[in-house]
Amino acid sequence: MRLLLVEDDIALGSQLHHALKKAGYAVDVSTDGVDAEAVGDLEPYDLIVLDLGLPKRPGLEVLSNWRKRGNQVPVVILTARGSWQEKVEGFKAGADDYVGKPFQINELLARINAVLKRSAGSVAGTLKVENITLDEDKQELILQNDQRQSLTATEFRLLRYFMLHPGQLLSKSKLTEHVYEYDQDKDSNVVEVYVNRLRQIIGPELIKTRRGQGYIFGNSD
Amino acid sequence: MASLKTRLSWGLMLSLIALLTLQWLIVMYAISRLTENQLIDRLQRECENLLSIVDFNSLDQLQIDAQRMGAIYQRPFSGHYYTVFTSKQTSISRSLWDAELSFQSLAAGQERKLRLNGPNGQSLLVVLRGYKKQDHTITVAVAENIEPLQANINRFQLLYALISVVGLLVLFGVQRLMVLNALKPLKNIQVNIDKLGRGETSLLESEGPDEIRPLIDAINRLLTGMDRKYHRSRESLGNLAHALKTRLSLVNQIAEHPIFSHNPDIQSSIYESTTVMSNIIERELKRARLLGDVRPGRQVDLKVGIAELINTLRLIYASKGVNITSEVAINAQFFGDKEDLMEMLGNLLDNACKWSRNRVSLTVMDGEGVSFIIEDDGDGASVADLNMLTRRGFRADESQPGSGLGLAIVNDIVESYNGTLNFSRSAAMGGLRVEIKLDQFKKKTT
Repeated sequence: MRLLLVEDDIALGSQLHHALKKAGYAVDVSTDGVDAEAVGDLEPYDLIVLDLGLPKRPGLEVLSNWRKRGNQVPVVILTARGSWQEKVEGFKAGADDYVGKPFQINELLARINAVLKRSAGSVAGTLKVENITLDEDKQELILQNDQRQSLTATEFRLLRYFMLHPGQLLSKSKLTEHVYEYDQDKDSNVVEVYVNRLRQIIGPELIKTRRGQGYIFGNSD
Repeated sequence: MASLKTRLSWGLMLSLIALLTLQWLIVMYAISRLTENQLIDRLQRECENLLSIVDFNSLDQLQIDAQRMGAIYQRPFSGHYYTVFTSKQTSISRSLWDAELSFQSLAAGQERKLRLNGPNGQSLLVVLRGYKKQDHTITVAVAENIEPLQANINRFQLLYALISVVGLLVLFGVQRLMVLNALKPLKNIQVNIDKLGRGETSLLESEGPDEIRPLIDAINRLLTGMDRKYHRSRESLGNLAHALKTRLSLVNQIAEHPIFSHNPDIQSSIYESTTVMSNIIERELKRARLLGDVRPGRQVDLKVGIAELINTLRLIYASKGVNITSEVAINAQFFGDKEDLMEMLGNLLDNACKWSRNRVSLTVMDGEGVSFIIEDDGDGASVADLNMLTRRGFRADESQPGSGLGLAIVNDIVESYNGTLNFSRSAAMGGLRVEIKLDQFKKKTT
């Protein structure tokens, strides 16, 4: 899962960046409205955390511009201005959720998680596909026999993306875009390596290869 | 200090009375002098006439051809009389009949004027003149009753006084109207200031005479300045809140550091402090907004506002799947600030959604003012506790799970509209029932 964090406060931004990365997301950071609007349109983010009080262009305007151009990326608004009038305006502009400052990171993570699942069409709660369950808090995999298996950060991101999009054909480049950050080296061969490692953990049948096209997670027949 | 109107009226009235009295006295004096002089002139001419017909015969006896003096001196007590006498002889006009006028004789060339009582109680003006004719010293006296003339003058005097009094009254009335008219702008300013107090206008209308316009302009300049200061302080309060909350978020993030997460007690007390601080900031910010806000009570479109709010809540509680229904009476109207309405209903509906199993309803009713009823089907908090909380007054640092701050803000808003906030058990849904009654015509202005 790749997120865009738009926050103009440098100190808070870097703390959040760190916390989100720790929670298993690939995170890009933008510090002003104009830059955020451009990046949000260009890159295929799975979710954007948007502060409203931004320099150069207000967050609300950025959000409604995205929506006007048909960019339906899920957006969680992060703001210190907590009046209901502003909340209503935020949702009217197309926000998916609203977190008031000050917040605890767990609260923000829970909201991000819920919005991601809602936008992927899955029911909120624990992520469970076929016989395997993903514990997103501990970044562990729970297998059929309740055996726990810890995952590396990249393995976790990749598996979560697969589990949120079961039965869909996912190309290598799409997986790369959603698992890695903007400035990371994107070698699509690395995806192959990680897919093979996941297959060793969850069994080879769950991730099928479509030659020249990509992968499908789960039994799509 | 007496009113401006009374002072102006008294001043003008007294000076008018003085002026008119003086004028009356002068006119009266001038007229009596004029008529008397004219009369004396005429009597002097009559003396000359009389002298011309006085004759002495060979026996040195005084002879007057009375016919030549005109009929008026023949009719008894006609008011016109004459007497001619020498040291030995006296001749009087027939009109004197049996009355007698006696005078001292005058030397030739002398003249005297005098008043005396004549026959039949007449008041006579007499001109006496001494002459020398045919070597005889004679004194000629011609008298005229001045009573008819006096009566005429008196009539004129009365008429003149009457006209003066009427004129005085008319002038006084006109002056009062003028004063009232001149003071009308002040009355307008007062009405305007009342409107200002109720928040129906932001500046005074700068109409009025040149003397008052500088005052209005000065007040308007003051108002604009105060308004600007107020907006600036509100803005900086908002910025302060924004900055502090961002920093509190940072504090929360720092509390995630392993140093603290390995000491859950310290971590949770940090979290508690940031929450309380944020609540204080939020509540005081909103109170400041309510205190300073005396803008006119505009009508807010209830249907649209409530629909927007419910859509928002449906999104927020999408995962819980709360069914929110609303019913707004057709005639229900809310006059005030839309932000107040949203804040009030938003907080209450949010609480209801939080505590409900899956049903929340909002009913808006009209009547005397407007009332909002929010019900849910949850277990909720104790009704008695909540009612006590509203009576005792909310404190921002009260850490009621979830509902404390929201209810405190709702209570502040309801108070600012002079409304009432009541908690009870919902008969229809089983959960909490919150009722707000607002009397729309008594919005506080301070």
